[in-house]
Amino acid sequence: MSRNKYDYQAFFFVLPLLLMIAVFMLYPALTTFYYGFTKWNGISSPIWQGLANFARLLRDSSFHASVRNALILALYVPLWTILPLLVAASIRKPVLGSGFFRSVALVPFVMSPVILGVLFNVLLRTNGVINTLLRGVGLGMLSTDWLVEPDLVIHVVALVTIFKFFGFGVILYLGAMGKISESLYDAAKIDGCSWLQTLRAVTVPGIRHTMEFFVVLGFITFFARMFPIIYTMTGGGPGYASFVPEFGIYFQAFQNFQLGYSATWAIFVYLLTFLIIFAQVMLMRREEAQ
Amino acid sequence: MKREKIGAVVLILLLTTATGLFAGGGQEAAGPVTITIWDWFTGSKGSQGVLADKLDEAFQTKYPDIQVNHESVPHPPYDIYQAAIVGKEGADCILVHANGQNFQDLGEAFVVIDDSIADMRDQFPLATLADCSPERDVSLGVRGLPMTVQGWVWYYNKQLFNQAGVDAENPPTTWDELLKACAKLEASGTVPVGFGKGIHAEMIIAGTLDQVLSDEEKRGLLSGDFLFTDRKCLVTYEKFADLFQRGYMDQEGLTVPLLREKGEEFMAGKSAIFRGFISDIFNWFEFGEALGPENLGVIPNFYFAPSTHRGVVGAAGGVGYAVPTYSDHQDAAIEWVKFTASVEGANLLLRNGGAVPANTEADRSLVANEVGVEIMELTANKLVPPTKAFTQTPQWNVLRSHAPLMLKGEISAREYGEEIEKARE
Repeated sequence: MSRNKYDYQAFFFVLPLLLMIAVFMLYPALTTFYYGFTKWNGISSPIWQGLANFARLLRDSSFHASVRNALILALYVPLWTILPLLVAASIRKPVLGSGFFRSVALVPFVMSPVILGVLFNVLLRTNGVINTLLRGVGLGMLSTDWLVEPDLVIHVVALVTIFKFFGFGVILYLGAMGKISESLYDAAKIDGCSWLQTLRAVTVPGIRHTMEFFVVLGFITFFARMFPIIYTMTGGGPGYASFVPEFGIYFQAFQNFQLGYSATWAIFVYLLTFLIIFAQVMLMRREEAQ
Repeated sequence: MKREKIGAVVLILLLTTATGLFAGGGQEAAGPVTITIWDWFTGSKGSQGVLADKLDEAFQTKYPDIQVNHESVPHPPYDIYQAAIVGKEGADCILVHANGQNFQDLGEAFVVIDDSIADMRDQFPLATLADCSPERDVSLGVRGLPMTVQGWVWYYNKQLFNQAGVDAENPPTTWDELLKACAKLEASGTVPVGFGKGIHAEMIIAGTLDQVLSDEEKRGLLSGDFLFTDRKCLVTYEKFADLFQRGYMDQEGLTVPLLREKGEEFMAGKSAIFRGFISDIFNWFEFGEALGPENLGVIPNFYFAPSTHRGVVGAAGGVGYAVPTYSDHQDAAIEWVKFTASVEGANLLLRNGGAVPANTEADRSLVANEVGVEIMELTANKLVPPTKAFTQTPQWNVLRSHAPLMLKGEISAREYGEEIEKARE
């Protein structure tokens, strides 16, 4: 009796949140699935047209480019994960400047992605600061059109994104490393482990869950949270060179006024993200079971 | 039991509050009607900001019972408009471009104003009213009134021309003459043609197609009878790719997302030739103020074969206000639409904004700027329909997004045209 009463009260307290999730997330998500099968400009009534949008999606050259770019971005997840790990492991014990580094590391992370995008647009222009500096120090052969070269621009976008989250990763890893018993490091030292061996045998297993979280965050970021940086830095271009599926949702809805087709893009992004996250969670659970 | 009672009371209170909020949303307060207006004029620096203030002031004097709440939206505003229209919540009056497909894309969302404008309909060229109608057909209902006529011309800095040894009083009017002038300008250390990819790429390309294509060919672009891969179009793309690759166009322009930045550089004398507007911003008025009217010249277009026209400007209805159907104050909002396009509003434009008014009864003698006078003559005698008016929105977006690749030579002129055609609905 007492148990039932407790459950009822708990449900009552989470009800407002559930309602908000239902109204602002679940309902729009479900209607998106419906609109994905319609021709709709957002003004007149949607017209059901079956799988026509999906057939169009498969023929769409901007979609092909966006998938290719998303896969290129995904290749940067290892760098996204390992770079902050190496830095965090290096400053785990205070060294000269590590305190200062910890303070400034989070600055790019707390900076709005819009500001960061605009900033890097200015820095990376043909006559921007980066190229001017390169030319100034005699490395003019390395200066290039960072934001115009179609084969280069998506890599530049990936590196800027890693730069934004790098400090967050370092702080996250440092927090997790703080929970590893110092005796394990002492034991590794007595056993004659090198810095790299200690990292592999002590640090990485000790922060595995944090790393898994950061990997998932990396995939979510690269697949579904790139819009502000791309919009402000490259506008998805040149051509479709930095066009990603998430950008396609916006582009079809608010540039081309094709909300039905835009919903089809959204369904694709949802399914893609869901599949990746699902696969990762399954992998983690299997490892835990082992 | 007591806890359950408290819970029930809280739940009822929550529901009551929520019901009250939703029910109260549409209620109107007594007293003067307040209309909310969205445009990108308000608060902007330069002539547009001044114009917005003057329009507000004059309107409030004429209609004291209608309060104006002017709110600025970023340009381009269509993502915000689209969200407002889908949500049926937002401004009572919004500023729309009539020279593209915007009135056609969003037309269903706007109130038909034919009856309200019956007394002033004759003051506007039929073509500009068509620009504010679905499918550019006034019989389907006019949805807004154009304040301006908008088009693109090449402005040039006479001082920089003279310094480079180019005759500023007899500027280049053909493509070959342009190349020769650019060579001299470059040799004098000036950027010959200012350029920022923002909305500039489509301005230079489509604005040139305005003279290259016949009116029938332009109409064919919309219906699909004429394609962006036609030889005439390919020649045009190749001309600009060549101009860029020769280094005559600002090379940095491909990475600069905002036209404004490069427009301001032209005003600062850092480039010699610049594609600008005839209304709104970066026009004869603003450039004249910055460079001195005596230092500013205008060239409609540079001729090359096989162009259909010579020395023409592609222009259509510029910006105009429209009233979304969700507005609770449609009558008051229509008064604003009418006022801004009226003779009184048009004269305010001429005095303060440096625009070409769509209203034919506006007092054009108010224009003192020499180039402004020339523009008024051009728009009176040398106007052709703009390519933009006959380009589907998705195609227009590809024309813009792929222009840097074509200019840089990453894709050929044909591939560029094919990409634009792939976006055809």
